[in-house]
Order: sequence, then C-alpha cells, then structure tokens
Amino acid sequence: MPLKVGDSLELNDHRAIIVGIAKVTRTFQSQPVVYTTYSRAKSYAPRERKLLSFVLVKAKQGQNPAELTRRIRANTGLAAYTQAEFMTLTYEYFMHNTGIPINFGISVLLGFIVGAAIAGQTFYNFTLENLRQFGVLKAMGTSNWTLLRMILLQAVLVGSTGYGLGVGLTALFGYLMRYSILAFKFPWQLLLFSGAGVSLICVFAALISIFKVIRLEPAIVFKG
Amino acid sequence: MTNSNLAVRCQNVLKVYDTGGQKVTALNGVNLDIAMGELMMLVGPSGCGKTTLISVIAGILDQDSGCCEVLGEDLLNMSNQKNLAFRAQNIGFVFQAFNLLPSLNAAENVSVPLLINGIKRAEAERKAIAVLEQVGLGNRVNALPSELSGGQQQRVAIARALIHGPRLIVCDEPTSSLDHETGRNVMSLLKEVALHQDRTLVIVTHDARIFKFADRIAKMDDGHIVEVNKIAVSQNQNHNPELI
Ligand SMILES: Nc1ncnc2c1ncn2[C@@H]1O[C@H](COP(=O)(O)OP(=O)(O)OP(=O)(O)O)[C@@H](O)[C@H]1O
Ligand SMILES: [Mg+2]
Repeated sequence: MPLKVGDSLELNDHRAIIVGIAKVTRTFQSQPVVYTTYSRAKSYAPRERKLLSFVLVKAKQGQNPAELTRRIRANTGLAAYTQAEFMTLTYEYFMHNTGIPINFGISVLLGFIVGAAIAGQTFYNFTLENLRQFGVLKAMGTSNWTLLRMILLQAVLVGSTGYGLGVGLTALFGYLMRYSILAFKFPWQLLLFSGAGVSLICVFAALISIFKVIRLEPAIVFKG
Repeated sequence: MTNSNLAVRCQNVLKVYDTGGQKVTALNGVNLDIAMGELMMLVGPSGCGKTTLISVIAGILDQDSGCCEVLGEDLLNMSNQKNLAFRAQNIGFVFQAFNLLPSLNAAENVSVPLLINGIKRAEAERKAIAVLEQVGLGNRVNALPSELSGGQQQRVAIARALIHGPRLIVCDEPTSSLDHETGRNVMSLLKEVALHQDRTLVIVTHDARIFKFADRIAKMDDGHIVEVNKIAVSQNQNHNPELI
C-alpha cells in the first residue's frame, strides 16, 4: 500500500511522519529515498563513521557554477560538481558499472532484428505479389538497373514514411510524458542512430527483392 | 537475312526445359517463316510448345539450339543490353490475363512502353490518349484496370502493345478470357488497327471462332510445326474443326 501524507512509519526505532511526497523521475533502483533534515537523518540512520555522502549546494545569484565548484574543491579538498557534471558522472556510472546498457542493448538489437525480419518479409511479399508486373516490365524491355532503382525508391519511400511516423510518435510520447515521473530523453544522436538502423533494414529488405527480380525470367509473363 | 519480306524465320529451333533432372522437350526442331504484314495464328494441343515458341520469337526466352531471326536479327547472339532495346522498340505483347499494372490508369498503362523507350511522361501520356481513342476507349483514359471490363482491359493492352510502333506483336490467347462477342471485337481491332504492311502479328489461340481472322495458321504438335494452312476467309466462316 503506497504511503500518503499523514502516515507514520518506523525507521530504526524512530517514528517518522510523512509530511510530503516528492515527485521525482523513476530510477532503476528500488530503494526508497527519505528526505529530512540532517539532524533527524542522523537519528534515523544507524551509526556509521560517515553519514554524509553529499551536500547539495545552491549557488547565489550571479555565481559562476564552474568557478564555484573549483573554489569548493580548492578550499575543502572534496569533490564538487556542477549539475551537468554530476549528471555525466551518474550516467557514466550506470554505463560502466551496471548491467543496464547490456540489457538495453539486447532490447535494441532484438528490436532491430525483429524489425528487419518483419520489414524484409513484408517488402519481399510485396515483391512476390507483383512479380508478374515486374515480369511484364522486363519482357517489354525494362532493364534490371531500372527495376533495381524502382525497388530502391520503394524501399526509401516506405522507410522514410516509417521513420517519420516512428520519430513523430516518439516525440509525441515524450511531449505527453513531460510532466510525468518518466524520464524521457531524445538526443539528436538517437535520430541519427535510428535513421541508420532504418536505412540498414530497408537496404536489407530491398536487396532480397532485387535479387529475386533480377533473376526473374521474363518468360513467366505468358504463364497462366 | 536474305528475304527482307520475312518478319520471323525459325530454323530447327530446339528448346528443352530442365526442371530438376526432368527434361521436357518443348520445341523439337521448329521451322517456321512468318511474313511481314502477316497475321499468323499458332494452334495445337495444350503443351505442344506454342507459348514456348512465341517466347523465343519475342526474345524473352533463349532456345537451346537452332536459329530464330526476328526482323533480321539473331536474338540469341545479341548482347543482353541490345536485346532489351530491341524488345523495347520492336515487340508488342498481348496476354490472356491482360497483365495491366493495377495501380496505373488506362493512359498510364498504355504509356509504359514509351517510358521504357525514354520518352517524357507528358508526351507519352498524350500519345497514349490518342491510341486509346483509336481502340475506342477515349472516354476511359483515367479508369483503373479494375474499373474496366475484360474486353476493355484487353483493348487497353492492345493500345499498350501498339503505342511504340513495334513491328511485331505477339499475343498469347488474347481472346480466351473473353466471351465470344468481345473476343471477336478484340480480334477485329487487332486486325484492323494493329496489323498493317509493316507489322506482323503472331497469335497463339485455342479459339476456333477467331481462326477466320488469320492470314495463315500454323498447326503445332509435340514441339513441331506439323502444317501451315492458308486460310480462305469465305470457307472458314465459323470454325475449322480440322484445326482444333
Ligand atoms: N518453365 C517451364 N519449365 C518446365 N517445363 C515447361 C516450362 N514451360 C513449359 N514447359 C513444358 O513445355 C511444354 C510446352 O509448354 P508450352 O507452355 O509452350 O505449351 P502450350 O502449347 O503453350 O500449352 P497451352 O496451350 O496449355 O498453353 C509443356 O510440356 C510444358 O509442360
Ligand atoms: Mg500456352
């Protein structure tokens, strides 16, 4: 049962009352985070040599954050990061020290393979359905080169339509999720990466069709 | 070619299909001359090699041996590139199943051979409309094949076979998907509009009711031409049982 404001709970033999629920983006971990004052935190948490892992600093108006972190580092000998630096640090941590990138990579790879298989199959089916028309064009003197360009053009059209729809829907999803607890990030690199993926799938799909059409005997046109 | 009056000269043409070890001799030494300006029909029992023969004549199938000169050219020893260009310029096709491109309208279908020959689309479509008028479909130029009757589709196909001014038109069973009346109209159209002194028609058919349109009828059996008859139109009003 989710906790709500006014509920009380016990933390290491101390009673705590919930006065607010923080709305944060969802993370990959499941440990709950409790926000409280430092002095209360010391009484809730079991005794350890170092209870403080980091301090959140708010810079005064007009301060240069980079300069500030440099000064903190120089004065205290502790690590200090700007928001952007801390983001990168966290990101790097997840990339290098957790299994998350591999899991995601496998999902993406799977999506790619399934996408290629389905797109290839659909496109190939389309070619098979129209094999007779290709045969007629061939009999009437259309060169393989022209047929190849026709199929490639088709692949490009289908691919760009699919890519446009995909990017559009993804962007719409991100837009609709902007006030939710879901973290959504859509950097331009992703556009390039998925574009390259879609292109690869299209080339693959077109290739099997092209081989079929190039090997096609125009004499099939007279067959029932 | 010695006789410039000949559109097609087949000499001892042999074609064997080899499908996974099983060999079928479709053409077993075909000898046939077809004159320029002639309407030649090719008849014979199913499987005797008629379709195979017109495929060789149209240059879309290579024979295994023998010579087939079409419009003075030996298609077998032509480069692939030249063969394509030759077909694009000189051959028209009419099929039993019409074989129009389903997503193109009548005018677009008819203009395809011109597009293949590198003619600009606007000019090709203008010419297509003129040819559609010739075959009596001037009012259906924007219709899709699915919106046309069988007879109308075959007339579109005939317009397509004509538009680039080919000197040889090959037809495989052009009337077999049509009822008698429609089939006869299609044949008169082929004879009146398509045939002239510089163009030859080779028509494969089972349909005895259209024999009377032929100048000559070549009868095939078992991969051979067994006889070639000159048809006297007056004596062949409806059908010639001997030829079926
Ligand atoms: N692609 C092919 N592969 C193998 N055998 C074939 C092929 N095409 C035709 N044949 C065989 O060659 C012979 C001649 O076939 P063809 O299609 O030329 O006959 P046809 O006279 O046109 O018959 P129909 O009147 O039934 O259309 C037949 O025995 C046929 O089975
Ligand atoms: Mg046949």
